[in-house]
Amino acid sequence: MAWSQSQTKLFRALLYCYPVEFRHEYGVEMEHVFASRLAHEPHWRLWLETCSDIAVSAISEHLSVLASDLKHELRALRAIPSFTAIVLLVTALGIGAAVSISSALSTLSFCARCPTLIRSISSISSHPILITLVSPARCLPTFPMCTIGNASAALFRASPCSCPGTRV
Amino acid sequence: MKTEPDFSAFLPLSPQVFHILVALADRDQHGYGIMQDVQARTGGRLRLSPGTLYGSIKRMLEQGLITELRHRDRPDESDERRRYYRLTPLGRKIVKAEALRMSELVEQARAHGLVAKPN
Repeated sequence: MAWSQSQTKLFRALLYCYPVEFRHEYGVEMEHVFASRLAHEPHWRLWLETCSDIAVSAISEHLSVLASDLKHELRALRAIPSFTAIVLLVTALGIGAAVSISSALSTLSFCARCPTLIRSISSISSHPILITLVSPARCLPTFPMCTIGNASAALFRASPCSCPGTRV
Repeated sequence: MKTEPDFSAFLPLSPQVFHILVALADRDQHGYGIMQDVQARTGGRLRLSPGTLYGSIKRMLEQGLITELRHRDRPDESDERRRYYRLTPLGRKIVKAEALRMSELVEQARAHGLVAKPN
């Protein structure tokens, strides 16, 4: 009797593999079913089946909850198209800005050897991040030339680098 | 004029769902009863574990193929602790459509000599 209760407790603990809604809805029923089978079936076979069943069905239930949440969110977004448009626009601008800034900062770190460019950047922008990035500590001593190949380079074309071997 | 609904979205049914619907075709049952019924009908070849059984029941409730009985609708000898399920008219139509589909497949196999003719 105590042995059966311990096994039922272990099964109850395994139910935590399932999503919380599913566990609350069917956990007690599943426990009853397990206890009934425990009384009539060989324990080793029951546990083998139970463990493999939980491994498969718990993943399936989590995926089902995820799909259901996504459907619900999409329905909610479709119901308010203006809000959806604003969210998409802000997200797109955010991603674009992050990519541009990352790309510009990456280029600046390569160009840190060029003093003319450093001066030109400093005169264009007094932004503390830019000044920090063009400090000598960021120089790459072995980098052979300064290459600016992205859109942010257009900002600095007015006063190109004059270092030997520098290409803008 | 009322048109017949399109059942093709439900078909083919998985073996688990088909057997659960068949188990509920002639009487209302709780989960463990369904499990025993399926096991007995299939000669132990299909054994429904709790996760698979209640996962299927959850989806069938959502699709309206079965319904959960309220306490006052339960059979007289019912176990108070358990939840009982009943086949809905839609569930009955779906399981009939699936049975018909499978019988047509068997007929085709029989026409090609793959299944013995019934005596």
